[in-house]
Amino acid sequence: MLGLYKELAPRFLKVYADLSQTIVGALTDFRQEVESGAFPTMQHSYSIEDEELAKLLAQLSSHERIANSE
Amino acid sequence: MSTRSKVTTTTLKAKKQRGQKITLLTAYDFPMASFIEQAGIDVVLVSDAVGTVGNGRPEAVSVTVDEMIYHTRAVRNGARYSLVVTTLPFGSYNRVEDALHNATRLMKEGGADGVHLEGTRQAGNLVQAIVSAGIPVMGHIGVTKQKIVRAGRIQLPGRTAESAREIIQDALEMAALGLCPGRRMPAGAPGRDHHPQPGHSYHQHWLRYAL
Repeated sequence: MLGLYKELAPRFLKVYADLSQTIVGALTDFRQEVESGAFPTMQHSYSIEDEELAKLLAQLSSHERIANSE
Repeated sequence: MSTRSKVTTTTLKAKKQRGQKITLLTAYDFPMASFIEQAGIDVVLVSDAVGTVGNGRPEAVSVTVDEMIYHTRAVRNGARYSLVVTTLPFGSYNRVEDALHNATRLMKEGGADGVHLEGTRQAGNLVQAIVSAGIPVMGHIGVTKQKIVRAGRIQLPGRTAESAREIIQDALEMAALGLCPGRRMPAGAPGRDHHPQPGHSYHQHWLRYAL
């Protein structure tokens, strides 16, 4: 009825929407934006305050620093 | 799609080495899993959020291994090519024997390709046991939903130097165990996949988006 199961189309069923097309389209847009780096942006993120970041960088061990530069 | 091949942890590793992004979405049932697969997403996560988002409960602590198996079977039917990873629910991996037993059940009875757990450094021995049994494990750092019992709400870690450093250490531990990259990482947390890179917002590294 909502167009979620295209394989099942009995005669008594009237289709009122094509949700599968809408959903797959949205998910494909999501995948393409993630792959290209267009999403997520800072708008969708949380970040650390500069002061805390400076403290963190001062605390890191050499092992942790090596990992950072990779 | 006729040439499409099954996504494996080897495929994901190759993607990472080529510098490509890995995509992941959550599903609990057959129709959503098939839409995700049609969209070409690499990984489908059968998350214990099925308790809240999928079943309308106020919490996910009550989700059982049997429930995760039921939902994994439905997702597996919709996602034949995407990598299906199932969450070990709260309380199902406290001891090595439980972790092994339940991870094996998710694979054998659910048809999962791997398991996901909210592991921190403290869970290192559990992760090692599961990996040794030949079961791929997806690590998880940052926001840990299952710890809601302690805090009463989902907390956003990584906003202080101390908390961010803990996440970096968790990430290094998980990387040392050979785990594939985790998911939602908090502020100032690890950079490219599981290599910590404070100073970069974690926005580049989200792998999971719950539907």
